[in-house]
Amino acid sequence: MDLTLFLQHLANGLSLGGLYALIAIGYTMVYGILRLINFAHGDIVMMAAYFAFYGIALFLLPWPVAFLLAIIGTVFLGMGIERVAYRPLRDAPRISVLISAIGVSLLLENVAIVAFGGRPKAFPRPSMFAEQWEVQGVRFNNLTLFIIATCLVLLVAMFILVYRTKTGRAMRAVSRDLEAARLMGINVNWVISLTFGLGSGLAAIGALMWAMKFPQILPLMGVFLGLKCFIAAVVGGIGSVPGAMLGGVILGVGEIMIVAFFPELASWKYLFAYSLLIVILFIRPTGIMGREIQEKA
Amino acid sequence: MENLTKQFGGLVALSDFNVELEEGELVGLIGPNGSGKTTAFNVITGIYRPTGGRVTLRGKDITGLRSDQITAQGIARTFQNIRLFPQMTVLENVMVGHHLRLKTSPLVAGLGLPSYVRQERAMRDESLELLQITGLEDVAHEKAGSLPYGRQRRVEIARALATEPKMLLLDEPAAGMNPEETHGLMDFIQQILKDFGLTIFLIEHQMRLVMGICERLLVLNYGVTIAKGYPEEIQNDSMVISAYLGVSANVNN
Amino acid sequence: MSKNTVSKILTLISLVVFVLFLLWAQQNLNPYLRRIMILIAINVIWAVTFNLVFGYTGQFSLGHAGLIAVGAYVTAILTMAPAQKEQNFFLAPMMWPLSQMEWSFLPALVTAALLTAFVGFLVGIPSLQFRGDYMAIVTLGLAEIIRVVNMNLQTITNGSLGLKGIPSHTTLLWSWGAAVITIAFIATLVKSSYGRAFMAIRDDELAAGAMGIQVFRHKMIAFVIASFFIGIGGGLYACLLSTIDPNVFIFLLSYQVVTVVVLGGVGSITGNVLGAAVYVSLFELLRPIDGPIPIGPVTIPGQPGMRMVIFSIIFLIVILFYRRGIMGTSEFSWNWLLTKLGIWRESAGVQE
Repeated sequence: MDLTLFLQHLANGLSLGGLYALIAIGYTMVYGILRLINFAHGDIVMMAAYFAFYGIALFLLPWPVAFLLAIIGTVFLGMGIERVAYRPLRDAPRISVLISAIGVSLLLENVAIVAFGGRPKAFPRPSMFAEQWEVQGVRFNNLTLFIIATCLVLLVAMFILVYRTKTGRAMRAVSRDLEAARLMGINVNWVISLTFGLGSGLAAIGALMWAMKFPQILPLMGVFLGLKCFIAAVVGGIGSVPGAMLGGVILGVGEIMIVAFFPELASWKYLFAYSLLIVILFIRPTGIMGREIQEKA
Repeated sequence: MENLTKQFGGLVALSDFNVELEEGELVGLIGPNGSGKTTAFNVITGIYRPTGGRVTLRGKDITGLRSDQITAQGIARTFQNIRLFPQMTVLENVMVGHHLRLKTSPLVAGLGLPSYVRQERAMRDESLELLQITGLEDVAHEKAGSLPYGRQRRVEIARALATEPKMLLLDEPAAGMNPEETHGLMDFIQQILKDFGLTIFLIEHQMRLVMGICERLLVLNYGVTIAKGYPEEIQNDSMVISAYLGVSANVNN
Repeated sequence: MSKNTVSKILTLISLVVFVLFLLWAQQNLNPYLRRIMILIAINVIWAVTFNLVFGYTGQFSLGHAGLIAVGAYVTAILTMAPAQKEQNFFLAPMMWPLSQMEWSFLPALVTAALLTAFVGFLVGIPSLQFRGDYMAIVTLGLAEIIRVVNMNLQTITNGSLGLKGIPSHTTLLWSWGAAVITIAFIATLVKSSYGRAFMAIRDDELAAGAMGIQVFRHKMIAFVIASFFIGIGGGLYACLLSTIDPNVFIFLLSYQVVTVVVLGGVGSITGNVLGAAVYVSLFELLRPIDGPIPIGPVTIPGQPGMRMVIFSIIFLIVILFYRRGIMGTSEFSWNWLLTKLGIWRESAGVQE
């Protein structure tokens, strides 16, 4: 394999990884605060894509408007889900919230099937992203570059938010010890809503870029994508935002590179993520950048 | 002659903890809150791994074994914050203690074969006997979580006894008891010490109980053993008294 | 005669009556109703096994779909006629000696169950080491791995083409017979010392270990036993559907099992049976919603998938407001029924 091909694959891997990272952040933040694997997160990604789709196809909105509205809608959806399906179970045994998340996931998927139809729809790709560039013989898709750039910007912004602002400190405090944070006067409910809103917003942006990259959208598209992104979060260190970023990139680059180097394994590529999960859980269960999450014995 | 040696170095919560217990002894472990007493218990019973040192039982090294293996070796315990199985009845809780001595496979149990039924009956009878001894037979079929605190502690002791231990570790058995209950507990502990041929190591804050029944004492402060000896000596040890001053403990009870 | 003996006699009588009913139903009920009853039985098996692992031992596994797949595929492969196999495997011929095997139902089921138990053992090794939510993800991942493996073993499972023409061995007697055996075994196990050990692990793993219970070993015992019976359920399922492909055994099937158990009451075997009955019946009853509904002069246009939306809503309502499900943790007992009917007087304590 020559250098240009390798760089092309790398670029692809990074853009895919960036998408995974954006979605993984949602999982990791929610897990950090509530110790909940938000099974519905992947389906929120799906809803974002459909929101944008209908915005353009049905309401004939210009795509920037449709995208923006889709993101806003998804943010509210995420916050609404927390309010309705998770908050009432805050004092229940942890597994009940998990089951509730499964229920929400099922509901979103089935509503999507009924409302949007089970057949895949073609997601519109705005013409500005169809261009191709060539840099030293390596062909880059405009979209790929856009994705990488957007991800970088967002990830840096998230980093700043979480580590350099008062709000971020509050989020980290709640994630460390919810009760203690509440006793310190932090409005825990607000922080949790914010976390869900942020996670959903990032996931929505990731969803839109995903849908432009892989223009077929399906009601069940969020499930495997969500599972992969959760695995990315675990690999990078669940509860850690930089970890989610790292995990996403590892997963994205890894997936592309494996198929690039071993094309015979293409149909087994789904196994890459799952196998990575098992491996990391055994070698380093807290993930690459994770810290020991104290279990109240 | 049974002895239990524990030497630990370097465990942050507990340093150079050394104790040897002879068979049949009743030894107390005291010290202000957070001095590492429960940590010592946790190391002995396999819940923590010591950073350094060994735990030996009758010459056999049991350091680092899992807690269920240590119980199988004959060391049982109760917990500072009572850890009963709240959904099960008192009788069922105690019967759980018998499970490790069961010699039947799950297949036989699931098929309900007579060999198992006989064992189940035996376990039940023995557990009921234990409940009688601990004065709990009247609540045998109540949910364990619904009992008053003091009685729950008794259930924990009964359950630990069901594992047929040679040595019993009691973590603050008198916590939350009034003087009358404490007195009853003192008699009870001395009784089971004799009747079951146990060696008992106990953590306690209530000085009356400690001074009343312990043959020997160890005193911990910040993980360090600051005194060892007989109750009378310890009572007058200046280091011990100063360790307790500033902490509202019932030193003069 | 003690209450205990009476209970045993009543159970025996109801079993006999039930068997007679099944024999009658086999001859006289229309195939549609028979199929529903068989589906209920299969769901009962799956629910009771999930309950053993989750309700009694406290381990939340989402791997059911993968284990069901093993049971289904092994049974299908062992019972299909060689001629059928040749027809199915047109892309790549089936591996020998599997291509020539044609076994009768019982040995095939038992073999499938044993293999599923083995796979369950393998799945359990990694996943039982993790607590609640992580275990869910790991088992989900492993079930997915099983699905992907099935899709790629062209010469054994026929890959994504699936298997058609599986002999329809599953009758009311087989399915309900298996269900009754499953319930009997698991109920007996749960009432035994092992059941107490499981519940101890569920309630307080640390304390259970301190009482001498080998925690991992017992989790594995529950998981492997559950896997055995799941395999039977899977085999029955394959010979009911007569057509299977790897995507039948997708995570949604695991969710279905969770739904059934949550509906009926986690921790109650009676609840599992009721949950299965309610789920399958409701599923069929709501079938018209997927199509147009005429109400008088008006026809409400149906929407395929509306059923599942309603189910999802019911599921959420149950988990949010009626977390205990239909039965909570109570079980049916003759004592309860006869006392309720006033035939027996209430007696303090437990009869034994």
